[in-house]
Amino acid sequence: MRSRYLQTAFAGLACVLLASCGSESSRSNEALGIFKGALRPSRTAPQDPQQVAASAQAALASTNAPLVLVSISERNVSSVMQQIETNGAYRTYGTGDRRSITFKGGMMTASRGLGEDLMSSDVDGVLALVSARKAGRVQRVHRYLDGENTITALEATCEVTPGAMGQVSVDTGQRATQNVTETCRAVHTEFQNTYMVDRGTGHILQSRQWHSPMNGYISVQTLRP
Amino acid sequence: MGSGTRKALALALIVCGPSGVFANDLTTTVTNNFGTPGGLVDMPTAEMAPDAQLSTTVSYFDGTTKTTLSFQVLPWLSTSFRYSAIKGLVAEPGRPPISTFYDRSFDLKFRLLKETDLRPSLSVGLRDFVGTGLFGGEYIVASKSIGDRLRVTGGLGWGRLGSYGSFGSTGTRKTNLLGEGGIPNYDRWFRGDVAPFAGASFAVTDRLNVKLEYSSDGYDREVTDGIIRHRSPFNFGADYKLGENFRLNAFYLHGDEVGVNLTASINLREPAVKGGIETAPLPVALRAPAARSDLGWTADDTRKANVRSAVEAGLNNDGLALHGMSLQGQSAHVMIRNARFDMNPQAVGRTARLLSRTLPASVEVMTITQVVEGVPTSSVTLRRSDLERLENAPASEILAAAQFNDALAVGQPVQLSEDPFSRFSWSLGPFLRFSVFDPENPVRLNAGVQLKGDYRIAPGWVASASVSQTLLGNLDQVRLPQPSGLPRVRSNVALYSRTNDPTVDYLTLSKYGRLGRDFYTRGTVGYLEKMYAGASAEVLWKPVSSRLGLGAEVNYVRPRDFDQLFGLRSRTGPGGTIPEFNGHASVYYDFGNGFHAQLDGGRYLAGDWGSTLSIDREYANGWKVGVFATKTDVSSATFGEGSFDKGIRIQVPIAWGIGKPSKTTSNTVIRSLSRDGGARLEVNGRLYESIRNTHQPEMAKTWGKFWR
Repeated sequence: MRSRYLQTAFAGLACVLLASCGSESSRSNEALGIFKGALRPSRTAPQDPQQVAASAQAALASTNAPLVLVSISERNVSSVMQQIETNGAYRTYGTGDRRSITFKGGMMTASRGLGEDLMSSDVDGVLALVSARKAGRVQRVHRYLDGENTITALEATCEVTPGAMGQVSVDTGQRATQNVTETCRAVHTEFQNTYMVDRGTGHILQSRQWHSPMNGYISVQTLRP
Repeated sequence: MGSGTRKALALALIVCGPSGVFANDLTTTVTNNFGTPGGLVDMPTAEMAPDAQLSTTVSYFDGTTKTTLSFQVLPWLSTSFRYSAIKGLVAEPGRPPISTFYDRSFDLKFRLLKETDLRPSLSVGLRDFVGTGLFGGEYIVASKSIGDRLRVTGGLGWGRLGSYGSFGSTGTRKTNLLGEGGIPNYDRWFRGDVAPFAGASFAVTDRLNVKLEYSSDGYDREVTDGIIRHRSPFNFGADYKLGENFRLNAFYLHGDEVGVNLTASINLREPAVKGGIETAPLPVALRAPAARSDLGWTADDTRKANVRSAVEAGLNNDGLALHGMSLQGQSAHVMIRNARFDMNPQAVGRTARLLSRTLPASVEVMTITQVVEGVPTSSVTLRRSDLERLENAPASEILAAAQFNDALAVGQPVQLSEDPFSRFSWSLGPFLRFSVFDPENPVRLNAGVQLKGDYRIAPGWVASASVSQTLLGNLDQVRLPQPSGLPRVRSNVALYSRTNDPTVDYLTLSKYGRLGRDFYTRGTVGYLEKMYAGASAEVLWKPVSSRLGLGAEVNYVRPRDFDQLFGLRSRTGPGGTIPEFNGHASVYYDFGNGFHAQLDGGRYLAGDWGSTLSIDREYANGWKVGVFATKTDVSSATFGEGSFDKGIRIQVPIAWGIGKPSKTTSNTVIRSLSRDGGARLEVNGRLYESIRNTHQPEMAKTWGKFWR
């Protein structure tokens, strides 16, 4: 955890000295259409398992859209996200407070509004191995905005290893799965993603995927595929 | 500031994870007694601060206070500006007695060789190389890390750094001042006695370092004047990291004095949150292939009106405004005003995705034009199918597919929004004005409240006003310098700070326009600034994809009454008559490697002719740290202390600190005392900075924000 005294002080100063008040700052920031449609009670609530289960149930009852339950342990938040848009194989899930994550076959490829967002990524090689539940070594690329707002790429070499068989329950019932582990090494980082892959469809139903240095791992559970 | 921002900030503070520890190339965030990067006490090292590190160090020992701003311009170039106050110095013969000696100094350090496994890092540096040179000294220094915790340093010093234990000399060191000070003392550098110095620092823990040095600084002047006793050439010190941004340093000098310093530092490349934590954009919506050929809607006016209002509402949700729009069967042209996003690609990217969700499916070509002060400045044309195809691809691909054009070249006239101009914006907040380097008082300031407003009357027409009320301060006590032979155009600024009533800071009517492709114009009349009223006309040539801009400005001015209400005063005063006309021709050039230069040449307020060169180190996130210098045909003697006008300017993007988009910046200029030579009129809304961010070279730098 990095302390940021100066930036706090700086922001405080910005409030007092610079932002002040005025017509520009009084604009509302209402969620627009598509996000409005996304589920409301999706805040950054603390991770009380019972509450999480209850909000997942409520979400399943309130919509027919595909749903995932997402938790960021580093920030102790979890949220139900609803599919709001698709672009080919990419599916974007959003929350009512306008945060979104994009998945391809259940593998995270992008995020918006989480901080140090994954702007885009190249995961096709990894995804092919993981959904086929095959061992192998492949490259994965994550792209982020750096401190200057320019794009920086994180290139990792990843080892994919299939593991034990298991079962995952989604809204339509139990699905047979196999665990797959992906161990990645980049120049300054190491991370390990774990997946539970549907043996029938090759889709990732549950996973723990590394997002960024700032957010660490994101756990994703499919509520409704 | 809304609760959203506070929440964002809290989130930002909570979620800042560990940053990677990278190979450090012998960098340090420790600063020494002189406030420059280095792990020893008084002696320099070959260490550099991390690139883009900006630190302020306040250093104190027995009556001597040094405040130093250090900035790592490039990985191999460290620069420092220092303001020192020394009690107890005895004035040189022939100079008036002093109780506290105030002095400004500049340092430079260049790294010549990087450290390798076997070779030490090698740097060369100049200390206090401009002006009186009280701390003046030069050095060549090598430093080597041994293991993770120990760093050893050895070097040779000249000047002050060659004043103890010298073993030889290289020529004679001059002592005369060049000009009226303020000019590099190049005739002294690396001349005179040369002496060795050495030191070592050891990291006891991750937070605590201890250090020992053999100093080649004899503190001759301070010893003579009885400020310090030089009992030993050895200095000791320890520094402790209080937090990510703060360090406390204590040291024991020459067996006689104990001193402390406190350093606050930030890195301009480390914002509150990388990439920002603003909310997500709308995703791109794909069209059904069959719908693409459906042009039925073109005859349906209701449908068109609905599209337009959906675009308008969507833009408003993102802090953007629809200026005008045209919709044809296969193409659309949308003009936007951006009040929120400091990174313009984000404004364009969000607009493009909104259009993918709102425009009829047959529209394939989308042109988004940014409008600044009612004037279209740059157009980005995108194929909608590229947008659909590249949403999940690297941002460089959509940049390659985007076409930048001068807005006048687009040739698809838009239907302006019903209410595109009559927009009133205002702000109320505190203000702080300050004056530094007054020999009698290092910092003077006025503080109060300021109410500002802009009213847009018609396309390109803006009425602007600002009223402020000083609540406290001592700017009125800034002493009037001796007559210089020039009319008093700036040196009487104190007279403008004496009123306790509200003042009109400016009250202007401006017209922005386009002369044609690549040409922009501005005309401003009214009370232009605190001290002058009149008229200002400017023209700028700046092609949308060019890194070069050329401008010209002519001003007609009359001095305002000291109460800064509506009266004017006579142009003629003790020093002469203030000319009615002044103006400049300007060249702007973005080198594209983080450096930007501006050269202005022309006639200044006092009628003197000359030029100003400004060099800025610019970061794509909006930080700018620059220096400027003005030399006019006024002689050094006439200009007075400092010889010519020069200073440092810093622009802070508020978005960097709060982690959310904001167009607000804080601008600080640190300059010598207000003098009459080389003074320029201050007029708001100069063209280059107003339009530059919307042009291709600037937008390409942060194009990654297109998809954010």
